[in-house]
Amino acid sequence: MTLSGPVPKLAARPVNADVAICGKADRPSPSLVLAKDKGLANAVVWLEGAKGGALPKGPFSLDQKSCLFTPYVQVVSKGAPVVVRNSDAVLHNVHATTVAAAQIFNRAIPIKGQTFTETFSEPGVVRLKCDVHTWMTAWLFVADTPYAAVTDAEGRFSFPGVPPGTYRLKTWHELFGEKSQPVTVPASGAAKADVTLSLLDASN
Amino acid sequence: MAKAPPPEPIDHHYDIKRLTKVFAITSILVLPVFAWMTWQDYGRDWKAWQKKFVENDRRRTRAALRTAAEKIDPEAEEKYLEQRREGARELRHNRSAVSEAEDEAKKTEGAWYEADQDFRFKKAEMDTARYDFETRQKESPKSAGAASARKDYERLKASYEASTIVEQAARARWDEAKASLAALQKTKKDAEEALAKLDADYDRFQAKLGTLRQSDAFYFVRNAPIADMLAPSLKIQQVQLDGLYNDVNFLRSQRVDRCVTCHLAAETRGFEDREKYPQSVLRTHPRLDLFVDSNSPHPYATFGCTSCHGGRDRATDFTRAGHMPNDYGRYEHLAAQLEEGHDDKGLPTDDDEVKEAMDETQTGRWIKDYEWEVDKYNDLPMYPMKAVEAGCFRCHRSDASHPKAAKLDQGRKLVEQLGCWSCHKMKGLEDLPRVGPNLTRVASKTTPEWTERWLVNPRAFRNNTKMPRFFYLENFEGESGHRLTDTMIAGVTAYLFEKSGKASWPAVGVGDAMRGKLLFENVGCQGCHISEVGAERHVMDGWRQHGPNLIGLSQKVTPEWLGAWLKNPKGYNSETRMPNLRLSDGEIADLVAYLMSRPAQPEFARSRAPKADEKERDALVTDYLTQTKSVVEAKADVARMSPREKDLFVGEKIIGHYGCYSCHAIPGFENAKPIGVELSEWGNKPVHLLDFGFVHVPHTRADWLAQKAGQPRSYDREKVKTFQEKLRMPQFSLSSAEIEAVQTAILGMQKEDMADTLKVKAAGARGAIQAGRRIVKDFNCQGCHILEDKGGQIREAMTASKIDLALAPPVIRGEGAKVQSDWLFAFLNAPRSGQIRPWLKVRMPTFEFNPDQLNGLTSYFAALDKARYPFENRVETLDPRSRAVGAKTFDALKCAQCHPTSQDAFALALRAGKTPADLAPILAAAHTRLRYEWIADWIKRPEEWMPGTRMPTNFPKMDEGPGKPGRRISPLAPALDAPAFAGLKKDLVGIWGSEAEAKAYIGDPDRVTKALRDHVWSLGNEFLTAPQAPKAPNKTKAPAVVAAN
Repeated sequence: MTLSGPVPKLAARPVNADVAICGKADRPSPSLVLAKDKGLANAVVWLEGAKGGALPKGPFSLDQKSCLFTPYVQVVSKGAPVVVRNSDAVLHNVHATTVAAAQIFNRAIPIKGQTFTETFSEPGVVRLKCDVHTWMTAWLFVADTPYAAVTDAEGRFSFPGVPPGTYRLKTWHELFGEKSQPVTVPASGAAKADVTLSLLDASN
Repeated sequence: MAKAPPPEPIDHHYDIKRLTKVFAITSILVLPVFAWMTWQDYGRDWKAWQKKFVENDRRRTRAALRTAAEKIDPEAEEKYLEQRREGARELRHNRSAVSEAEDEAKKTEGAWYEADQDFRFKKAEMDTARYDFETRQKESPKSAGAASARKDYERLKASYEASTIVEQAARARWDEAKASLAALQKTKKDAEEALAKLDADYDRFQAKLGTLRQSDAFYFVRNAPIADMLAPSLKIQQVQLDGLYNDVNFLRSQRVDRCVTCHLAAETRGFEDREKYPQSVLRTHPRLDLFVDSNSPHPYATFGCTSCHGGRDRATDFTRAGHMPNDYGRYEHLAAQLEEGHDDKGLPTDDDEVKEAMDETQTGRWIKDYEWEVDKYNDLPMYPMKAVEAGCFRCHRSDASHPKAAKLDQGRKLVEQLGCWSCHKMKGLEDLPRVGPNLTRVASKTTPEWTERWLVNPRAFRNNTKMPRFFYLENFEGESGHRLTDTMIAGVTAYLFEKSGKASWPAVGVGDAMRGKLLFENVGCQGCHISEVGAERHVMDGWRQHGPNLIGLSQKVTPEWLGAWLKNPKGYNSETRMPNLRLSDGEIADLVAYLMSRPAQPEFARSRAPKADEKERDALVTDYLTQTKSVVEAKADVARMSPREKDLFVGEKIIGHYGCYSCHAIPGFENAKPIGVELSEWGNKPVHLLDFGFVHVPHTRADWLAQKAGQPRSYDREKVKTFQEKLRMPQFSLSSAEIEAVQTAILGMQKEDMADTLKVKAAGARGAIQAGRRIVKDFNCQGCHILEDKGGQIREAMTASKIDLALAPPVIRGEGAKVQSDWLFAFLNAPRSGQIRPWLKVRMPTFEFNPDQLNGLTSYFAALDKARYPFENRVETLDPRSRAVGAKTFDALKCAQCHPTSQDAFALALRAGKTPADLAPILAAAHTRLRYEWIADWIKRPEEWMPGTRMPTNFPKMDEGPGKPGRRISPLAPALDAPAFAGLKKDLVGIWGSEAEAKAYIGDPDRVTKALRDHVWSLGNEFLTAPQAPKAPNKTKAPAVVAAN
């Protein structure tokens, strides 16, 4: 997946709390990570309508380390356990909402090494925020298909074992919103799909 | 052989033979009449509906039964029995637990009593020893006696102190036993109730089964013609409504409601499906939670149907019951087109198309299906469904708003805010705040030129204004009409400025419009004001249009006036609802600069100023003078008066004529009476008393009203009227939705002919809520705050200005349970910024509420949450252990990371680089502001108190599978073993004596949140009388002493 057109400059996020643990330096915005050839990382890609294959069971994990959520974007299966961990000696809270800001949960996690487990029953994008440290954000994509992935640092993704057929290849990125394009998987061999996004037609 | 008839016993004058014939013929004639009558009775409409309902009901129950039998019947019964067994077992178990707990409570009470006695004796002994010691000490301080007395005293004192601890421990155990007993008793009661419900469900199912097994044949026989006079199951269903009456001219008769004769399904659940039961008569009432159902606030047996819906209570015929379609007006309109062959614009219409359109209306379908017609003899037909909420108003007039009747609520808001009540007296809507500004000092605010052009057409200046248009309307058309209008406007303006008090306002400093803009967006102006050229009017749900649209001010007012107004609104107009935002002079200068720079509507700049016409003015003056004088005298007066005098005379008369003083305070009209017709009981006004003029609208109350509200002067069309006779109601430019809402409100204004017991109670908690809602509405609290889940519209403006919603005015939810009433009173009386959320730029303004309003608001919030009001015990002693644990837990949970514990801590956090918006309320004020119980509950479940709050949940609910509520857990107990918490663990074990006890305490969300609460309560609290945090060793020894005793 690549970005075309102008590359936006995103402001760094200042660290304004618990500098003793989180460090003083501003955090670069995690919203846009580009490879040299403008490959777009941290985008979610999934196939709509592909049947077969089992949903990964998890457990998935989400860590808060050095006042950052890791990973920044990940795909989790619907109904599968997600273990949230605090590896810092400060209070974090994990405030999960839908993109439309409807509350899912808001849990305090004050103790270093503390974990809790949540499951997500509604497929779609979940926005995570730490209200204590406002620069800390992350995204989950709750998938009800096994054919869902996050693009890697080069902007690449792949789905092994897709049954042949024509599907809609859907993509989501926090700056570009949801897009889709058709893709046909032949009876043998692999299908290749290139997705190009541009800020000029960003939907949100 | 012919035999002579026997002789008649007495003489008579009639012929038996002839009579026999007459009888025979008559009976032959009567027979078909009888058959016809029976058939007519058998075939009454309502019977058909009842039959259909019975069919539906049987079909539904049979289907339910079949599925039950097929699928789960044996299982269900088995399950029921199993559940019942389990329930009974649980109950037995509970009972024994309860009796154990009772024993335990008795035992611990005994132990406490013993300890208490011991403590008292010890105290007495100690007191004796002290006295002994004191007297000896006084007599001879150095004697051996004194020394031994001192020793005795000290020994007994130690023993007394030990007994204190024993007593406290025993009391704590007794309290604990009582608490666990209460909890168990509740569980037991719940189990009993659950069992009873299970039984009731089962019995109901069995009963239904029984009815269904009744034979069909029996049903048909008892309802067959003629036989149905014995004991039919199809019969007229009626209910007598005690305390509700029909007004039969000079006589009141009791209401007897027969609607469910046809509407049998109304009170039965299970017939909601619109597709399955397309006719509403066969459907369940859509709001059984509010109406009809015996558990609803308006049960059928008390209120029937007609007391809300209107209509004739005892009719069983469709038309005679007073059913009213929604679109009768449109139907009649189409009918007129059909007759005339053209539409309103005179274009020819196609007859077939018009006919088809007529058939498609609800009216058309009713005529076809039910032979519906307007019942001329029914003064009070039903409300059409579009205005059905009018029925609520009859009783709920004294309520401040109608949250469950949206259209009525909107209509009422319009009637209140557009000031209908100012000219038309309406019972229940008196004593509201005046809707128009006070004009007693208008000359110090604006200019005559602006006023004249404003009067010509207020909407040219401000498109969304609530001020209606009085002039240049249809009954003053033409050249002469306009000349007369201009003369009136010039007169009114002259009068207003002549009588106006004079005032001058201090100069305003030079401000910065950009800074003013930021202030306007941040400080809270936008909760009540917009500033948008061309905005549409939104009275309904338009909290941000509570105050005027702030455009074109530079054309209207001077900067000096605006500055003085912002500084102290009540200084200019003592009755204004505009609050004081406590702005500094610099802020005022900036705001004035910004507001004066806001654009104006271009059409106003182009509008022309009207000029008085001499001839028209003379005619008008003469017209008024001749009401009290002869024509000759009047003419002489006119000749003598100067033009200025004439203008003032005209102005005074016209202000009186149009009743301007009803909405505006105007000098010289302090005691004038409103000019409109009283509308308090307009909903009962006979239709024949309404003047429909030459306008084609159906002759119903609703249609007359819609026409009047939309085109107030239209009933003057084609009429020849003198100036005095012409209609005076101004043009409010209502949208069709607004007209429908107003219609609903006004139609609902009916006679309150009901027994006092049925009237809406305006006292107690209900009264407090209504009175509070009145204040909330008048002062537009919901412009800024989300209150009762409504409003908070300022958030829209903040979003548009890209301001973080975390900085929005707080959501008010559970406020009564949350804050202390006396704090709330003091806060509303004199709000100060920066006490709780110093980071907010938006300010709670000073409204200068009077004591009644302050009490009204505090009791309103308390009543909403069923909180104690007004006084409550102040907690001044805290359990030292709980408080100590609280302090430790407060640190462990890192609460202070967001909550500054004092103003100093807040300042420190800012210096450390924290953004104020990331902080949480300062806790030093908690003990003066919050209710003691509430704090613990909030800490336990913030997401239930305030969905979406940034306060995270520390005590989450366990996931115990679907349908189960899930207990809350404390994650602290397991965390205690982590190496990072070795210190905390040591402290807690020190307080509690053993690790198990410490873990049990900290693992119990109830106890640990109470401990946190006790700590929060102690922050900055100088009223506390309890000793400071205890010394751990003393306390750990306490149980040991008990054991030794």
